[in-house]
Amino acid sequence: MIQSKSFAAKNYPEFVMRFEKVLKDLSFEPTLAFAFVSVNLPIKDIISHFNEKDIKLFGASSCGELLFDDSHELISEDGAIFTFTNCNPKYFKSKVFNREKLSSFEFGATIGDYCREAYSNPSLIVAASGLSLDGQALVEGVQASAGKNTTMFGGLAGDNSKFEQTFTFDENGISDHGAVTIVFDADHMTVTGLATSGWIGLGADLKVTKSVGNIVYEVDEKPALEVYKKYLSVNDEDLPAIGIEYPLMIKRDDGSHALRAVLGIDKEKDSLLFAGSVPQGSTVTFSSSPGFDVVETTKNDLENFYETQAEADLFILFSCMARHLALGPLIAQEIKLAADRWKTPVLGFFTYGEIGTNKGTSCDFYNQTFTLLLLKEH
Amino acid sequence: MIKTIDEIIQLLDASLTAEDFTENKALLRSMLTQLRNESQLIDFKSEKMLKDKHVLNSLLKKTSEDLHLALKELQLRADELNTLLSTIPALVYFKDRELRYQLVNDAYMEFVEKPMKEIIGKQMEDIIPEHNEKEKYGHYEKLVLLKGEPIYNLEEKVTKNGEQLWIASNLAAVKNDQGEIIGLVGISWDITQARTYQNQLETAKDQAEEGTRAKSEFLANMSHEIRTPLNGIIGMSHILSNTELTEKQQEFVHILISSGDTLLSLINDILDFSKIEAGKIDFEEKDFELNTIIKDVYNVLSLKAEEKSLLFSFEPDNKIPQRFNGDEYRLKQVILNLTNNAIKFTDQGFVKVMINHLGSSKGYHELKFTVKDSGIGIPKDRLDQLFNAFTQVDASMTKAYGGTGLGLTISKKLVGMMEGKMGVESKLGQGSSFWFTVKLKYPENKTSADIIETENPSQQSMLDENLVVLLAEDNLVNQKIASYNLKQLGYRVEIANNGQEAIEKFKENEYNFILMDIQMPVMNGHDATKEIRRLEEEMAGRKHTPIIALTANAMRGDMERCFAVGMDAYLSKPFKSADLMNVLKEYIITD
Repeated sequence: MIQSKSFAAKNYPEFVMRFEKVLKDLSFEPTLAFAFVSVNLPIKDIISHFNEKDIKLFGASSCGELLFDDSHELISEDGAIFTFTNCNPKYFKSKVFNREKLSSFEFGATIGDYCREAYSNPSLIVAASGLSLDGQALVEGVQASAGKNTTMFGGLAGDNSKFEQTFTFDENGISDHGAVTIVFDADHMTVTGLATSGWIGLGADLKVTKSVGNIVYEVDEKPALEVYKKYLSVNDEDLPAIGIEYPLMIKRDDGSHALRAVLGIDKEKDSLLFAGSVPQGSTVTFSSSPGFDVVETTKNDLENFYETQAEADLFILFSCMARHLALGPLIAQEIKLAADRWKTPVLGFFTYGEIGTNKGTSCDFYNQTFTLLLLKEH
Repeated sequence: MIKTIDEIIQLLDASLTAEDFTENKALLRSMLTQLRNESQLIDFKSEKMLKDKHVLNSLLKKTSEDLHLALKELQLRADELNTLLSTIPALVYFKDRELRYQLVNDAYMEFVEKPMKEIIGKQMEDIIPEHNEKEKYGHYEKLVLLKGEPIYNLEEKVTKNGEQLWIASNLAAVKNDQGEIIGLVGISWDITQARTYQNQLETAKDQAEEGTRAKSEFLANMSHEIRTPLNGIIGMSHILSNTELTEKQQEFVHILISSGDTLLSLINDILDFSKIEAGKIDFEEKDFELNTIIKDVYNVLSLKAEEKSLLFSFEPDNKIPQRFNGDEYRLKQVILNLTNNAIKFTDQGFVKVMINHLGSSKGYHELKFTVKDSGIGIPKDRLDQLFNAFTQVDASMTKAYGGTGLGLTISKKLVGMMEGKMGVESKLGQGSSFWFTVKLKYPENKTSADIIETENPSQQSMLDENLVVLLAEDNLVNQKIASYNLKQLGYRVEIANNGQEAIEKFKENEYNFILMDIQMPVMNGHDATKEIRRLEEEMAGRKHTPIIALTANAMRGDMERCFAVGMDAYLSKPFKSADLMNVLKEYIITD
C-alpha cells in the first residue's frame, strides 16, 4: 500500500511554506515524489528542496495541473502540484535521460534498454520534454528494446500552451530535451490504467502525400499548412492552437484510429509539426470532440475499468490540454468520476501528448485522451 | 437556472417582510454563487459551440466542395468513357453470369439494328438469331466465366441480311472487388474485309508458286536445249584437241574447251541456284590439281584483264599442296566468279588472287582465297546485302556491268557447303577484297582420275580390248563424242539409234554394259530398259547387263526414275572419260 500526501502552490513562496509544513506533518517516510509545475515557476529552485531531503522526484512542466483528493478538487492553470509517496525503494528505479542528437526512436530504445536491465518484469512511466519529439517513435523505440508488451504510461511536458520550451526534471536536474522515467517492478506493483478519447472524425478522407516522421509537408499533394487553414478557415496565428482542438485522425488499416495534434508550424515550408508520427500514405480526416457528451464516454470506460481493477493506491492522470480546452469547466467532472469511484487521490497535468496502455493491447501514443495510470503496491 | 432565479426572487420577496434578513443573506449568497458558476459554464459552452460551429461549417463547406468536384470529375470520366464506347469502331458489350446483356455500345446497337432497351436482359439467340456458330461462341463465353482467363481473336461466321460476315472477338471476365467473376465483357469487330484480303493473298501466293514451278520447268527445258548443242561444241573441241594442231591452234582449242566448260557450269549454276534454294545440291569428290584451276581461270579471264590493261596475277603461297580431293568445278566456279567480278569492277590498277594454306587436320587442307582489286569499291551500308540473291550494289550497276546478281549468293552457299566462309572488306573508291576459305580433302593416291587426266590413250589399257559396249543414242554428235570417249577407254562400241534398236541388238549380242540415252525417238530409254530387264528374265542364261543412263535432263528426280526402271547407274551428258571411268569403277566392274 502506497501512502501519499499532496499539496498545491500558486507561487514559489507558497511552495516553500507548504513543502516544509507538509513534510513536517507527514505520517510516513517519503521516498518518491511527483511534481507538475507551470513553466512560470522557478523549477530549479523547487528541485533543490527535494534534493536536500534526498527524495526521488518525477517532474514535468505542464499546461495546467490537477489534484483531486480528500482536501482538494483543484484544476490550476499557472501553478504547481506536489505529491509525496512512500513507494518501496526496492520496487522502483528512477533515471533521467538526455536526448542529445538521438532520433525519437533511438531515444526510446535507450530508455527501453534501461527498463529491461532494471527488472525482469518492468513497467514504465515516462515524461518527455522537447517539442520536436515524436511520441509515436519514442513508444516504438521503447517497445523495440524492452518488448512490445511493456506496460507504459506517461505524457509530453507542456508550457502553458506557448509551444516554446518544455521541461522534465528529477531531484538532481532539469532538461528541455530529455525524459524522466520511473521503472516499477511489476511483480510487486500493479501498473495499469486506460486511455480514452471520444473524438470523432469529420469530413472527407485525405491522403498524406509527403511526410517525414512527425512533420507533414503535403496532404492530397497540397501544402499541409494551406490545407489545414483552408479546411478549418483559420489564419496562421490560430495555429497550432486550433490544430490541437481539431487534430488529424489517422485511420489505420486494422480499423483503429490515432489522433495527432499540431504542435508547431513552419511557414516557410508550409509544413506542420505533429505530436506523433504521421506516416506518408496515411489516410486521415479532421476530427473534433463530439461535444460535452464526451464525459459520458469517459464515464463508461471508467466503469468498465473499475470492473477489472477495483483497488488502487494512487492515480496519475495525463490528460490532453486539448481536452481541457474542449471541455472547459466540465473537465473537472471526468476527473472527479475517477477520484470518487475508487476513493483514491488523482494527481496529474495537462499534456501535449499521452502514452498509455489499454488492457489487452500494447502501448500507444495518443492525443486528446484522458490517460489514467493506476498504481498499487502489493 | 430559471429555478434558481425563481428561488432567489422568492427569497428576496420573503426577505422584504422578514424580521431578520441576516438568515437569508447567506442562503442568497450561496444561490447567487451557484448561479454564477452555472452561467460561467453556459458562457464557456456557448463560446465553444461558436468555435465548433465556425470550424465545422468550414469543414462542411470545404468537404461539400470536394464532393462536388469529385462528382464532377466522376461525371467527366463517365462522359469520357461513354464517348469512348460510342465512338470506338468495335462492338462492345457486358454480359452477366447468365450471359444476359447488361450494356452495349452504339456500334453494337447499330450492328444488331435494335435499341438498347430491346437488348438489355436478353441473350444472344434473341438478338442475333442468324449467328452461324452460336454453340461455339457460347462455349467460349462459358469458359471465360468458368476460368476467368481472357480469350483473344475468337473468329466466327455471322450471316447478316443474307451477307456472310466474319467477326473476331476478345472476351474477358469481369470481376467484383472480392475477385468473383460477375460477368464478361466482349469486344468484337468485323474482319470480313481482312479475310477477303487474306484470301486474295493466298490466291496470289498460289499463283506465284505456280509461276515458280513454271520457271523451274522452263529452266529445265532450257538447260536441256542448251546442253545438247553445247555438248557438241565441247565434245568436238576435245576431239579437235587430239588431232594434229599447231601450238597456237592447240591453245585456241583449249580456250574453246575451257569456255565451253565454264558456260556449261554457268548453266548448271542457274540450275544449282534452284537446287540450293530447295536445299539440295550434289558435290563431286574427285582428285584435282589446283594449278589446273588457276590456269583455267587465268585463260578465261586474262584476255579481259588485258583489254583493260590490268595487272592480273595469282599469288599462291609456297606452302600450298598441289593436289586435293573435292569438287574442282565448284571451287573453280567460286574463284571464277570473284575474279570475274573484280575485273569487271576495276578500270585501272590490279586484280590479284592470293591463295594461302591455313593448315591441315583430320584429312583436310584448309585454304584461303583472297581476290583483291583496285576497283570502285563498295559503300559500307551495302556490304551486308551483298550476298543476297539478285543484289548488286546499285540496280543501275546491272546495266553498266552486266550479270545476274546470282554469282555471289551461289558462291557463298557453295563455300558454306565446303565448310568455308566468305567475306568482304571494301572502301568506296579504294578497291575491294573478297575472301573465302574452303576445306578440301587430301587426294586419294593413284585413282583412275589420275590416269585419265594424262589423256594418253596408251596408258589407259587397263581394260580388256575385247570389251563391247552398246551405246543407245539418237543424236549423231553425241554418238561420236561418246564413241570417242569409250574407244579412249579401250571399248568397242556398237550403236543403236533408239530404244527399239537397242532391244534388238541386246537380243542378238551380249554386252559388257549398255549406255542408254533417255529421250529417243521410237522408244525411249526408260521403256527400253524395262524391256531388256524383262528379256533377261525370259532368256535363260542371260546374266544381268549393267545399263548406264545417259541424260542431259539433269533435274532432280531423274536419277530416281532411272533406277526405278532397272538401270544401274547414271551419267549426265556431256560426260568425260573420267566421269565414265568413275561410274564403271563404282557400279559396274567393282567385282
